[in-house]
Amino acid sequence: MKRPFLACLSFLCAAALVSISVSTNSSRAADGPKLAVAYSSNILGYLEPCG
Amino acid sequence: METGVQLGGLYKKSTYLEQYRKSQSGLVVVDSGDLLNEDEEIPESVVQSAKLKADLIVRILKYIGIDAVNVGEMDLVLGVDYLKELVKKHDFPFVSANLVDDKGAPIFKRYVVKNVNGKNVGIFGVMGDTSEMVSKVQQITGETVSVQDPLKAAEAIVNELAGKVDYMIALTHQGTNRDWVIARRVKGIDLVVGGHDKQKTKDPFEADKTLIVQAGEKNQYQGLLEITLDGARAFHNKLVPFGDEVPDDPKVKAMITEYNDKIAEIYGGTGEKAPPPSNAVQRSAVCEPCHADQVKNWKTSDHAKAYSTLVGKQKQFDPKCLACHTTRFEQPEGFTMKAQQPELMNVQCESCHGLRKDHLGDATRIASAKPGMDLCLKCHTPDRCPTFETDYKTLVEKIKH
Repeated sequence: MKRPFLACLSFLCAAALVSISVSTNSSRAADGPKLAVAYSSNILGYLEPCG
Repeated sequence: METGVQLGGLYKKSTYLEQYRKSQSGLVVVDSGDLLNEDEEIPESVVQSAKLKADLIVRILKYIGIDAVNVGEMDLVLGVDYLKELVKKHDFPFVSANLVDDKGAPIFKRYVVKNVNGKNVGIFGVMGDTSEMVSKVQQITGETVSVQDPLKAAEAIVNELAGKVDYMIALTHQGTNRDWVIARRVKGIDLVVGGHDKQKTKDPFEADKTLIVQAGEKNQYQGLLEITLDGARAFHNKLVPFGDEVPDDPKVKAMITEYNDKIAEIYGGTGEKAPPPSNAVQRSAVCEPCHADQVKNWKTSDHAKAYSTLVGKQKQFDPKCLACHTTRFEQPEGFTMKAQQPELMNVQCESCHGLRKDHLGDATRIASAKPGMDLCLKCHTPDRCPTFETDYKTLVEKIKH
């Protein structure tokens, strides 16, 4: 009786660990170092519209 | 282009980037050159306002948090010494790896390195070395500045910073065709932010692993490229139009108002405002005795009210605006910043038909009896009037005379 219970518990624990591991990796990929480059060119002295 | 996108949205740029910083970290702000000026020659009477404007733009970009600006040939028109003065006065991050003085020494910082989210980002600038660009720079600077090979300059920086930076940005001022060359030939550049040929890249070009982008002209759009710095280097790019949906930054607006007041004081006299156009005898009166009907029609047109629209917006001393809202701006016998002639305010007969003197002496001589669309497009540019060319026939009817 104990063996099936322990086997089942081990399986559940392993599944939980895999699950945590996958979501951490996924989270790391999404939240990894990011860079945002705000760029412009040829502003040519334009400050604001004339009229 | 979208309608409602405004020219020169500096106070919108400020708001947009401030809002972005509040929601995201890791922002680098760059510009690829021709920031301060549009014209190859600046008339003597306009130099003072052009320098004040350059100083203002530099202060606004510092306030916005600019990280690096490449030097374009139009920036050099204000004088290398003046640019160096701006760098010193405002700690402004002009960069150029291939503009050198007569001793071959770099004039500006060759590159900057910024730490972003724990990663080092290298940013350098180069100008193209086409024969046209080289001769233009020599002409503008009186041969005190030379343009060295941009590929060699870029390679030198990539080698110098190898192992020290995680991401390398090249700010170029040479046109998209040459951007492909630098992206392919110089290994180690991750991003090329181009300039000079005024392209808008909604989708970045991909030259092997290097991205190439450019955000049009006249500050109508903010380019924004988001990249992951992991191995995948996933990216998302957008060009954000500066329309009414982006609020104005009141602080930047106040800085521009202060500039408008200052040039009004310089060119209009302390406390003096230019007389309203309706009170001033216009140069068109000279044409009226022989062309009464035409002048009568012109008086009802928007051309006859062009100057008053500037007064309402406090832009009547801005040379950039006066060029299209006065008659023959800074041309012989035309409206000048220095004289501010009331009789030459508005878009009058001579704006389209040429200087009256020739015609008055000999009625058969007229510079342009029926000017075509090309002339109109000098002011009614696609960025100011997006539908002008398609609506041309209807619009011409409005001013038929």
